[in-house]
Amino acid sequence: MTQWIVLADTDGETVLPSTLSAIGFAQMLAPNSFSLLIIGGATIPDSQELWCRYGAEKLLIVSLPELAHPTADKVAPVIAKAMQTEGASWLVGPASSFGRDLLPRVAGLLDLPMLSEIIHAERDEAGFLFQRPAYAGNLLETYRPVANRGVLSIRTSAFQAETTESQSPVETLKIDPSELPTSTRWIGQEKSENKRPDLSAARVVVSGGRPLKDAATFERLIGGLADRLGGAVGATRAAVDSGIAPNELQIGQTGRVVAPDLYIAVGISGSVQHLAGMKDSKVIVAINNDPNAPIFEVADYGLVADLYQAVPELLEKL
Amino acid sequence: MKILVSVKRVPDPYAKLRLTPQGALDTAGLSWTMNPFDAIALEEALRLREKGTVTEITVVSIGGPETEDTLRMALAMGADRALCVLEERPPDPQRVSHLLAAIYHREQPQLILMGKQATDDDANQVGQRLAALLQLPQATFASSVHLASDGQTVQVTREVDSGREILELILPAVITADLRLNEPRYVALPAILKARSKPLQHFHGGELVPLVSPGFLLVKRETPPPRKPGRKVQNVEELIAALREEAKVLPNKHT
Amino acid sequence: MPTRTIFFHISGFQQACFYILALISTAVALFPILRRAQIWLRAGLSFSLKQTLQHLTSLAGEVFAHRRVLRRRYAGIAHLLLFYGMLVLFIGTCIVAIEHYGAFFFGPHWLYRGWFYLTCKTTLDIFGLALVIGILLTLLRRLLFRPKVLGHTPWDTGFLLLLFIATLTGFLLEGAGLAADPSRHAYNTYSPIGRWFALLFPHLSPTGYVLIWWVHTPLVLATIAALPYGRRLHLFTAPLSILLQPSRPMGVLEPETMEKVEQTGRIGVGTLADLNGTFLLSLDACMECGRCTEACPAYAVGKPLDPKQIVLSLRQQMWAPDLSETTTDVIDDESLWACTNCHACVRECPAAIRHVDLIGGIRRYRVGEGRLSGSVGTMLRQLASQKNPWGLPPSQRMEWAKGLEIPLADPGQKTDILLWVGCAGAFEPRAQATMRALVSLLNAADVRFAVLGPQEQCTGDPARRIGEEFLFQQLASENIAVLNSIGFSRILTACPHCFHTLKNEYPQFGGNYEVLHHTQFLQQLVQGGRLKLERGAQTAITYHDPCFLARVNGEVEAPRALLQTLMGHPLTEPEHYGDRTLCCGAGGGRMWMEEAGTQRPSTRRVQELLSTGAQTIALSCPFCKVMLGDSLAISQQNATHLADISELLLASLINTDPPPPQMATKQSV
Repeated sequence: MTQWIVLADTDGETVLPSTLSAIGFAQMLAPNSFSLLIIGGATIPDSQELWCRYGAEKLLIVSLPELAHPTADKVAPVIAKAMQTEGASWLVGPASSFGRDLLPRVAGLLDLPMLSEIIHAERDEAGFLFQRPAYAGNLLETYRPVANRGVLSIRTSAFQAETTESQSPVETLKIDPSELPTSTRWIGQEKSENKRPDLSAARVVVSGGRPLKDAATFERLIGGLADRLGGAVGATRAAVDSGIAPNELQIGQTGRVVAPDLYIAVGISGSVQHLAGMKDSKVIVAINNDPNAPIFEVADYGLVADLYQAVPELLEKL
Repeated sequence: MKILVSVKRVPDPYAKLRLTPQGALDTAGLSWTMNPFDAIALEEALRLREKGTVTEITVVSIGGPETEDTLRMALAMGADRALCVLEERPPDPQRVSHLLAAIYHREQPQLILMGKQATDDDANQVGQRLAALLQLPQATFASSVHLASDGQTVQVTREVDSGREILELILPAVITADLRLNEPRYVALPAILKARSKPLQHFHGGELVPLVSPGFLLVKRETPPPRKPGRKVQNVEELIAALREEAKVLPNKHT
Repeated sequence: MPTRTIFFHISGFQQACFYILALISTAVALFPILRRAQIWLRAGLSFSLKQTLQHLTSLAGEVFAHRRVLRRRYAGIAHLLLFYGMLVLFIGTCIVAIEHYGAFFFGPHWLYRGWFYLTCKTTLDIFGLALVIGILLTLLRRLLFRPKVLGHTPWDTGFLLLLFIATLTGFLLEGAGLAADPSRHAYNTYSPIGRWFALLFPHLSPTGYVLIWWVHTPLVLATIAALPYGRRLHLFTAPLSILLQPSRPMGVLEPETMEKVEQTGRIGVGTLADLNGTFLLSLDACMECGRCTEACPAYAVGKPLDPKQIVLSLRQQMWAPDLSETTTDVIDDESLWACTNCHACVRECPAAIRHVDLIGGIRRYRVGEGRLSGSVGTMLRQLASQKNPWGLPPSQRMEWAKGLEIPLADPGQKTDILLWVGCAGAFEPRAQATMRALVSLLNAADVRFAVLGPQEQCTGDPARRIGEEFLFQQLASENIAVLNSIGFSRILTACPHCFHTLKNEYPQFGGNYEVLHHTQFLQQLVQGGRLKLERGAQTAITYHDPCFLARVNGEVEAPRALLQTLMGHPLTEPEHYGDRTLCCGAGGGRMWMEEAGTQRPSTRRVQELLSTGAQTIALSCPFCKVMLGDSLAISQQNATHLADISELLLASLINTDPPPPQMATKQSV
């Protein structure tokens, strides 16, 4: 009997890889008792091919043209309906922008308690224990659920999912589109250039400094590395002033302040103005050919090397 | 048109946090401030008023008596009136949303603004929960807000993983503010002194919404393991291995 | 006997008419002066005999020696001629009046005769000519060269022409007088100019003379009447402004108390009613020369900041019946926040106007009204929270000293030097390098010093310059409480902003300390033989004077003495050096404000420094080091590099032995 529903992260067209962490979480805590709920528009059923291999008891698919742009007001009641139909007591989803927008709304609709941004979980005699960061990661809090129900959002880098041999059966959930609320209208979207995530939301940021010669080199090396890692691109003030990077990429005191999980500083010396913009990154990597560059004081991993050799090598080996 | 802005009193985000031996937050010497995201939300309300259609901005905050300080700061920034909902213990997001729903029914604003999350718990739940309770449309992580001239709808640009999304909501609605929405004005002492005469009303949370036990119990609070001193790696392979195995920050790939 | 008849051929009735006209013209002239004086007095003109006497030397220097005016050669000389021309002619008229009215008591020709008379005549002729030349030079500049900042108007031309014709007719009258009075022919040589005009009137009748008199005299009365209008009001207001200027040094802002803010509900300068009479007087002293704007580094790189316009747009409102109805909002935000506080405008101003104080006051007002936003607001929040503008944890304040053993100041032990690290020295990598070099030098010279360590807070300079006065006062009082609890002789700092604030502004809150900039102290050490340098070891160095050290605090010698020792010969100076230095763009809180790439003062300065051909640019300020460093990096100039003076000294240090036994000097404790 399914007790858990795992919500797939979707853009309405396809299921996104950030779903894997939530699946990994469910695999760990409720193996074989979770369903994967996939909601979207006309092309969403195509996702079953890939996502039926992750050990879900079944795949629940909701495919409606109205959900091609899955806004929270429409998707939340669908999830609530699925929870009720399946008799599920737990809803688990990715802490992506989709999940963060949606999951609390479902919690509100069903008046369920919710714990967000889970990074670690275990089980003891008394039940589940969930750990999450607080105070911008300066403290870690561990919670125990009071009743065996709730909504959980899972950090997208926290858990790994395994594929299985067996395939999950697929069920379609019927939703009457006329029952969907109409107070929200999707107007459009602006995809970042080259489909890169925005700096403030990106999990990975690759930043370049002035040693990158010119705009083409900057894009090739820094942009290339960012793309390989699915991250955003940043630049120092010196790089922006030299014209090798556009102004909106400037990270620092007077530019953007970022706190990604991974910050890679390429050819950056590390002035205090730049540091002010990225010092809260979880992991800082510095690549610089000057072993005395101040950036190495704050980097978790430092590689003293010529960036023109190191970055292509990274691109090759990642 | 009335706007309701919810603000929260949080520890200074720049402060170094310490735990007592009992595992509670050591508040000795800790300075407190308005949640920066809520300040952004309030700033947006002020700018909307400067543009025209808004007539009144009410701020509400939930907490102990010291919450008044944060409300005074909000009044100093330019809000018209403040509501202080007193609670004996810090409420969880579920309870907060119920309390705000009660306030909504009293105030009947056309627009509810708040920060997307508070820098103490980083829960990112209240705005969405509140919208669900009130059956109102929501736009979270807003980076720009445009009120239609007829005051019936609002167009919001949201920051999402893939870029930006633009939604149009029929008012009343709930909007939560992202960092990129604006940069709040700086409030200096003279403004705070001038705002002393603005009205501040008190409520008791227990009278607005009956207390129920929270859904999750805090078992433990701990500081994360200290940041290990950085180390130099010899080559690219070592770097990749460290990032993958040690730091675990390389993105998932389909196996 | 050489003399002349006053009111020669002018009948009693004509004299009466003259006096009536003179009365009218005087009234017309006095009206604006008295009206303005009423405004200043109502706003509170502070007068202290002691201060005024102190300023007499300034007055002499500026008004009579034309110290600042002569900084522009052409305009200065033209003005010198105009000034002394008019002054001497005025004195001449006074002498004539004294003779004329004194004659009622002492009899006619009691004074204006003999060698005295002849001396006067010659002097008046020469200075009359000087005046004419001055007017012509001025007209040439105004009408032909047309410098834009001057804002020359047709009224200005009109006045100059009026003055010209009045002076010319004066010579005509003099010539006519010489021609009409045969008794004076013998002394014609003593009227070198007038005698030539006399040749125009070979047969002049008394009526003719009277006619010319009645052409010249009304013109002079008209000139007097027109004098205090327009920019020429400065004839009266500028000397007063110089005499009554506040005694507080350049760059020191007046504090405001919380009590006053509670009472009035406001802070800073939001209307003209917030300015005191002395300041309003200084605004009235502006002669619109535009030198402030010419000197402004923000204006030079294309920003809208125009110091002259700021003065004029406020002065324009001074005629308002109620000064509290005026507004400083006429100055837009972009201009207001573009100011780097370099004080070049204040240095240039011949009328002692303190533009930077005005901008500081308006900033205070706007910050108090909640009109400050952007990255600088974030900086203030970080400053309030973590006591440094970058929001870094105070516990990290000694990270720069890792590996060095630096004693922390101890209330129980008195030390000689309290080394004030500053926020840049603590957190900014380039400034940290300067600090480490300085410590090496101090150790080599066996100086007893200590630091405050994590207790040290920002002096509050960025807060004060941006207008967050109460945050500044809070930081200052907290620092002063700590400083007053420990024992030291002097404070040493490597940052001109810390230097200025600690030395000149902390006394406002009970912090009275002897403060030295590191170049001053290092020069003392070198002179005293406690630091030995290899002379002539370094070459091709130029020096960038920091605004707050060179211009605001007048220290230009010590750094030069040190560099000259290093090189063995004087520096190659850039075009703007010493107290004329060009700002790097970081001051006034601008370090924390965003700047469009094309509008960087530091770029302009770097170009100037590079054109000296120097290989090293010596610095003595951590912010200059950052700003110029960034601009230098962009310029892709690999040959030239930057270094603080302490780093250059360290490179040539040859102290290996302990210093020779010193007699008790002021330095040791």
